[in-house]
Amino acid sequence: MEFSLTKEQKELVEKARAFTKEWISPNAAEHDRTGEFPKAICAEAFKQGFMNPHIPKEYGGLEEPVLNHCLVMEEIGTGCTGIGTALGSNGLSQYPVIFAGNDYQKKKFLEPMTQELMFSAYCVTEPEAGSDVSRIKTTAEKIGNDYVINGVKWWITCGSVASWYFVLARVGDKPTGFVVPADTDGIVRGIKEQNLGQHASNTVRVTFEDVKVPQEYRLGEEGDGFKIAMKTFDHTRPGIASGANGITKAALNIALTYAKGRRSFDKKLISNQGVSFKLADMVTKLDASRYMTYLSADLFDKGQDNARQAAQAKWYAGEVAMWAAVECCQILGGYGYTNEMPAEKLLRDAKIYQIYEGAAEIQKMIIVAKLMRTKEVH
Amino acid sequence: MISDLMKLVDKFVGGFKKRLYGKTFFCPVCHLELSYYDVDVNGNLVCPLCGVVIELHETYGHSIPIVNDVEINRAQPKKRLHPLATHFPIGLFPLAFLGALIITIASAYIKASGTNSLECGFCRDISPVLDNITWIFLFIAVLSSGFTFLTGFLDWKQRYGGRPYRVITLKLVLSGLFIGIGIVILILHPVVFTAGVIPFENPVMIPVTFVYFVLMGSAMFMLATLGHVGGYLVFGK
Ligand SMILES: Cc1cc2nc3c(=O)[nH]c(=O)nc-3n(C[C@H](O)[C@H](O)[C@H](O)COP(=O)(O)OP(=O)(O)OC[C@H]3O[C@@H](n4cnc5c(N)ncnc54)[C@H](O)[C@@H]3O)c2cc1C
Ligand SMILES: [Zn+2]
Repeated sequence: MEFSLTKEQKELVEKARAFTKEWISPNAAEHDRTGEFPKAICAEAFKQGFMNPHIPKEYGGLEEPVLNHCLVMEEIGTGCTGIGTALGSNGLSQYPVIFAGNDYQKKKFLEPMTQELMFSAYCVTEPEAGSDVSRIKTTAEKIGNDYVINGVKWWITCGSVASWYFVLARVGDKPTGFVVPADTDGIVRGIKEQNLGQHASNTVRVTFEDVKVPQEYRLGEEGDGFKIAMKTFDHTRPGIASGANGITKAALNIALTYAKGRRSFDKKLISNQGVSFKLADMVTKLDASRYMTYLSADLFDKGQDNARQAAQAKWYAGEVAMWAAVECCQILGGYGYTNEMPAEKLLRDAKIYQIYEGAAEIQKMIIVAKLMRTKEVH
Repeated sequence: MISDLMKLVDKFVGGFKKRLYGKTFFCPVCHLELSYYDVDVNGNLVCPLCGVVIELHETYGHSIPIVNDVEINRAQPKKRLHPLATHFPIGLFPLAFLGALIITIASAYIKASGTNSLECGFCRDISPVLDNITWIFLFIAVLSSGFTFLTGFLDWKQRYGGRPYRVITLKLVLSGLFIGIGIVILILHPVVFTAGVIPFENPVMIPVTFVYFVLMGSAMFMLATLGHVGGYLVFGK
């Protein structure tokens, strides 16, 4: 068992922290207020090598371990998880191509993303099907050498800036994955949704109306789509958990700084155990959540099954982030409720970690499914 | 087109602000944008607008302004002379600018129609009158800006404790420049508008008029900035 980071990982964390302090935290409130997509920040992140870390080396990528991505996303999430989602969500749509794509598809869709700043999006959820992906209604009809896709995809992160989409659609009754260039005729991108938090992130509806896709853009075989879409989460959930850990870390740092500075009843807030114990709880839960996250990433990097650990990390990190954001606001009192301080934004941003990439309940279902197949837990 | 222009102006103003204020944060009480440069060696800053004493901390690049005190007995500006006085230059200078512009157009029209043309009678009659009014407006605007500067300076010493806030330094520098440029304009004005019109027959007058309007334009820009910053300091966001 090894608990320390390598020299390279420590350097990576330092670099990501410096990037967060210079580029993300100072711009977080502005993007939260305006909802403007943080393209300039993504461009800088791209330059510094923080985007698309998973793309294999043979296609020009960095092929970083998931653990490294987690370390970076935790730092960036401490600055702003809205911006973090904008610059990190490419992974969700890239992984199906990494995992199930052929050489032609990887060259066509992954390689360009290492050469210039580009976005891609994962189109699975539909208005009538979120947690229960098997309910999706989008169809892909085979006509000659093409497929014609019809359907509505809902809450698509980076949907209006993406250059291509991973789309899950039914060929007959077989869920199948496709890569669809965003400039294909028949694709209509909706307006940006006004969400509770993560305002820098771009969430839209994407409609497919008779969208013709050549069969070379089909990932794997017909019927492989569900497996591809779900397997992706083993890879991405540790990264999502890290974003949530970033929120917890921000909540802890903000609350700690405030408690050490603010006076009431002739002493500093932190001198009251009612306040300081919250900080002790926060740092303990942060560590627990981080180690769970790192373990789930490490298992993936070692090629082992991490489905349960990734679900645990995603669920627990989201839970802790939400709780920590509430406690942070409480420690700041009225200042935790005003929008001129960074605390209330954490509260709004944290909620999504209990919903997207599988809601908290769905993570528990995955954990239980694994438990069902276990005789005893050691 | 207009939105592109607005974006360009925003970018320019943003760049200028960044250079002047450096990193900024917002007062959590009155929402005034404050500069890190305004924080004293002990890490404290009194908000010039609402008077709270802010202890500024930073964590992970997030500004954490902590309020532990408030200055409640702050001297009010003397008889509110400064806010009153500002209305003179801000009100009169743009009118003088407009007057100068109209006379210049009239002068160009006279030149284009030929000096003795009967058509320009109206222009030739009205321009000297307008010129007199313009000069009076200019004179009062520049004179009153001196008074405005003085009252503003006293307010700064009293109400703001003479603290070197970036925004007040900006106001002081711009007002000084405005007065300086205003005096040059006052001297240049009779040279440009000889006998109430610009004698464009003399080719030298074209560059002289150009210089005059560059000065007028920059003075207008300074005045607009001063008014905007002043209003911000009084009324906040
Ligand atoms: C900001 C944002 C960005 C998103 N980005 C993307 C994206 O890029 N791509 C994409 O494909 N999707 C995206 N989504 C969709 C997201 O993954 C879904 O919203 C999520 O999976 C939940 O689905 P649902 O909203 O349909 O809720 P439902 O499935 O209707 O569930 C509603 C509630 O019931 C609970 N629930 C459901 N079934 C059970 C059960 N059996 N037992 C117990 N509880 C249950 C759920 O946990 C949830 O709390 C995004 C959503 C948001 C809000
Ligand atoms: Zn204030």
